[in-house]
Amino acid sequence: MKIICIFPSIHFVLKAEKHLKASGLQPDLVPVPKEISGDCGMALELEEKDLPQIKGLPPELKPEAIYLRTSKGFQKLLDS
Amino acid sequence: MIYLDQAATSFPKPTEVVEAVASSLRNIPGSPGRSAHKGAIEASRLLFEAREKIAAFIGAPDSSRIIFTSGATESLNLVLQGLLKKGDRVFATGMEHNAVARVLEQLKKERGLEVIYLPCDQEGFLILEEYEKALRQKPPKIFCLNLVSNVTGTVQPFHEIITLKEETLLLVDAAQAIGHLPLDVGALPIDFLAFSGHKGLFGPPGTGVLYLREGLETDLRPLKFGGTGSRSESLKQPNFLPDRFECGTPNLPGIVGLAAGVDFIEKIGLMRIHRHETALADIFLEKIRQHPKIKIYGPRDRVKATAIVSVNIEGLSPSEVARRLNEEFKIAVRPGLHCAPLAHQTIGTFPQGTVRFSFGYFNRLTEAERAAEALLSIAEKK
Repeated sequence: MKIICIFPSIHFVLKAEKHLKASGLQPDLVPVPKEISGDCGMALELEEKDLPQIKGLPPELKPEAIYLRTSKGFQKLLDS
Repeated sequence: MIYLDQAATSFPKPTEVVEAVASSLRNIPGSPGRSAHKGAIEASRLLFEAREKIAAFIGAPDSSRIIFTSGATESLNLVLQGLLKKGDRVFATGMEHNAVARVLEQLKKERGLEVIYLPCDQEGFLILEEYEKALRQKPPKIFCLNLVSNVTGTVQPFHEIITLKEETLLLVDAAQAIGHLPLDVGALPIDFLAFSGHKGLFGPPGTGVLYLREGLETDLRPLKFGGTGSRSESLKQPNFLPDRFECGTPNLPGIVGLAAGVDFIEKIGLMRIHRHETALADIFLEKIRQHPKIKIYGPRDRVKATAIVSVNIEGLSPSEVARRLNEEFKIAVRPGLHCAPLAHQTIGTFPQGTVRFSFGYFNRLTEAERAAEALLSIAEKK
C-alpha cells in the first residue's frame, strides 16, 4: 500500500525528497489529496515498506503527518 | 566603455546568468509553491535548488535559513526593524552604508535606540581599543558590522573583532564581501548575514539574501506579511522558514540568475576571482601612487582591502574628475559619497566625497592601466 507524507511547505517536501532519493528510495511528488487538506500543496507518496526510513529522517525533515492510502480512504499513521 | 563601477553592480553578467533568467521567463509557467501543475513544480524545484546552492556557498547547514529578499538593503531592514525594541543598544561601525545607518537613525527616532557608531581609523579599520571599551561599558543587543567598505574596500579584521558576549547578535553586512572573499557561516559566529545578489555574485538586480542562525527567527518580526502558498487555510503568517519571511510571488527569474552567478563563481574559483580583482587594483594603484596631486584613501596594506579604490585629485571635485573620465576617456566610475556619509566622515572626505574605482572579474589588466593613465592625465591637465 502507498503512504502519503505531509510537510509544512514545498521547501520541506523537496528537501525530504532529495534526502530520501539519496538513501535509495523513490518518492513520488503528488498533490496533497483533497481528503487530507484543502491546501494546494504537494506531498510525497512512498511505499508502506519505506516507513522506517521516513521515520528516520532528520528532525527538521520529519513529516507533519503520514497517511496510509486504503481502499476506504486515508488512514492517519503519524501526527507530529 | 571601461566599466569600473563594479561595486555598484557587477557588469557584464556571465552569459550563464543571462541565459538562466531568459530561460526562466521563457520556459517556466507558474509560481513556486503555488500549485501542483508541472510548471509550478518546476518553478518550486528551481527555487529550492537555488536556495540549496546559496546555502552551500556560504556554508549554511540548513537551506531553509536562506531568505530571499530584494537586496542587501531589505535583508538589513528585516533584521534591524524586526528585532530592535525600545531602548535597545546597538553598535555599528564608522564605515556603515546608509542601508544600515538610515535604518538605525529612523529606529532611534521611533524606538529610542541607543546607537553607538564605533570609531574607525583613517584607513577605515575599526579601532579595537574603542570597541572593547564600548563593549565593557555595556554589550549591545546587535553589532552591525560592515565587513567590506563600499568606499575604500577596507576589510574589517573579523577574527579580532568577534570577542562578543553571548547576549550580542552579530549582523554582518556582506554586500561588498560576498563573491570577493570566502565566507563560511558554519565556521564563523555570524548570527545574521546580509548580502545582495547583483554585485559579487553576478546575479540580476532585485536579488538579495538574509541568512539567519538557528533559533533567531522566533523573535524576528517579518517585514512583510502575505501569501506563501503554504497553510493557506490560516490567516496567520506561518512560523516555519523560509515562509515566515518570504511572501508574495518570488522573483524566480532573478533568483535562478543569482544561482547561475554562484555556479559561475564555483566554475572559475573564488580565489582566482579574488586574485584577478586584486591584481587589477594593484596595477592601477602602482601607476598612480607616486603622483603628488593624487590622494589615495583606504588601507595602505592592500592585502586588507578588496578591489575598491577611492581617490581624489587635488583642486578638482570628485564629480568633475568622474565627468572627465566619462567624457574624455569613456571610463565609468562613481564620484561623491557612495551612500556612505559615515565612511566619508571617517576617512576625512565628507562632504565632497571621492572618486571610486571598483574593479571586477571581467575587467582586463589593460583597462586598469588605461584608467590609471586617464587619471594621471586629468591630474596633469587640471
